[in-house]
Amino acid sequence: MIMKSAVLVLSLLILSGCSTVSPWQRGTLAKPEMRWSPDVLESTLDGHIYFAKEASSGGGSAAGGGCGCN
Amino acid sequence: MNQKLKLLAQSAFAIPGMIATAHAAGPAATEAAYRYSYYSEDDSPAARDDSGGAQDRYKIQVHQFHLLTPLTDKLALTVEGSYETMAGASPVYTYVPAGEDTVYTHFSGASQEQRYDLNVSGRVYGSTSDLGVGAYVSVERDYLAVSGSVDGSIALNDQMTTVSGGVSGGYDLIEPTSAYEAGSTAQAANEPARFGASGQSKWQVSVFEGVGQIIDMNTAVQANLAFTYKNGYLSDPYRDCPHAENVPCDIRPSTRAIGILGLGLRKFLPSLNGALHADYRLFVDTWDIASHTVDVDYYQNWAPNWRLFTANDIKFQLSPGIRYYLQSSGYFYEVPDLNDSIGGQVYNTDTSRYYSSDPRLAQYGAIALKTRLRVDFRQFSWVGALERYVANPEFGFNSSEIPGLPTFWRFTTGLDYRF
Repeated sequence: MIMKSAVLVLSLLILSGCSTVSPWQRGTLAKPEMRWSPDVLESTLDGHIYFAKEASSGGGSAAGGGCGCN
Repeated sequence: MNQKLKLLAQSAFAIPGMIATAHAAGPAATEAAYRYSYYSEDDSPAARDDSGGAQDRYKIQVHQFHLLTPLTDKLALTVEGSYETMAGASPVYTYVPAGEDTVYTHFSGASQEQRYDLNVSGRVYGSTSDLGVGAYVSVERDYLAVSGSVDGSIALNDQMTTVSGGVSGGYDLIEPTSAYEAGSTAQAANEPARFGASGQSKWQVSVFEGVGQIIDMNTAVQANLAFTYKNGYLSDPYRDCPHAENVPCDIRPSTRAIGILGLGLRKFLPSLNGALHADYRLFVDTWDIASHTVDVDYYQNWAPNWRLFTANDIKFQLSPGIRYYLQSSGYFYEVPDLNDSIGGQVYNTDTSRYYSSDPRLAQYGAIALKTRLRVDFRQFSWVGALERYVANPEFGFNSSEIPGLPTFWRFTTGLDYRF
């Protein structure tokens, strides 16, 4: 409940502070280094290693497959 | 479509609003990638290893491959897999020996093990939305995990806002004893955890929802929520210890509910020709574990304006980063003190309460420093990365000793190819 409220408040703050960016103005946003995960294999291995060594895992997507490492 | 146009269209699909500017809805080019990683943990601490000396801890070699290919202009297939080999000692149990007041960890060496996994997914692209389905399998000698997922996203608000969501389900099967003897009282007494875990399983379901928002020409943010529920055998079957009377040394609840809040920022800095990444994750669960993770990375581009480089599309990107992780202790984490027990037996036939000395359930913090170098050459990219990770109770504001926490190096190199 607290997390949902935080996301809602944050979303409202963000939406109130943006102006429309036309598609032809989005060249910078389309650069590979602006992706949420610029290197998909690095992200996969990061998740695998931290899952094996820490009590927390998961994040920006539904939890993926497991392994015997944790 | 020439190569430059393919690359432009390909990267454009990462951003809502650009879909309409390209004449295909899905990825325009095939991308293939390979990575080799070498992971090496520091030796166990000699002064806190109850074998009396330092032991080689885990060394892991990982081969990863990735293929993303458009099947039609609105349908793409992704295949991702890995093969890893691992060997070395890992912590089995932590305790205070009788007659001492110092915490020791017992490490046990593992012979070489292997793991394979494969993840196949398909994605359908509309003009402002996409929908994907995926299947995953991971195979080890003693462990099988399968899962499936469905996720999608839609761009709204002049394609300034992307709303995404998904569900996944997974099932894991555990077989920790290779020579399992059903009904064997000797095996049940000698290896109670492994014996009891034979054939056990667990399942999990997970849902997530997220919102991404373009702020201006150089800034995008996102927030997401995820909820996961696990049920089944969640203990660690490899933690048999001598101070337990025919019972496992690791008994955890059979359910675990997890909530995650993630926040992210991507900011391009035109004056520096670089991009700043900042991510935060809040993790809470029903085992009383709460964690905070902060990731900050910076991607610095450099494209020399020299004939050799411009003629061959040679560009460089250096990306340093830092990650800080802080977690609280699970409510059943404990380091048994054999001075308080009778006859050196801490755990008895009462298995109705939960306990574990797994250092991963302790209160601690970890700092990771990373740096990556990427070199683009026409449709190829070479990637190299180095990471140093140090886990320490003091980083987590805990003055207790936790000798089993890992410290490791990771080196990665690989190649990307787009065609």
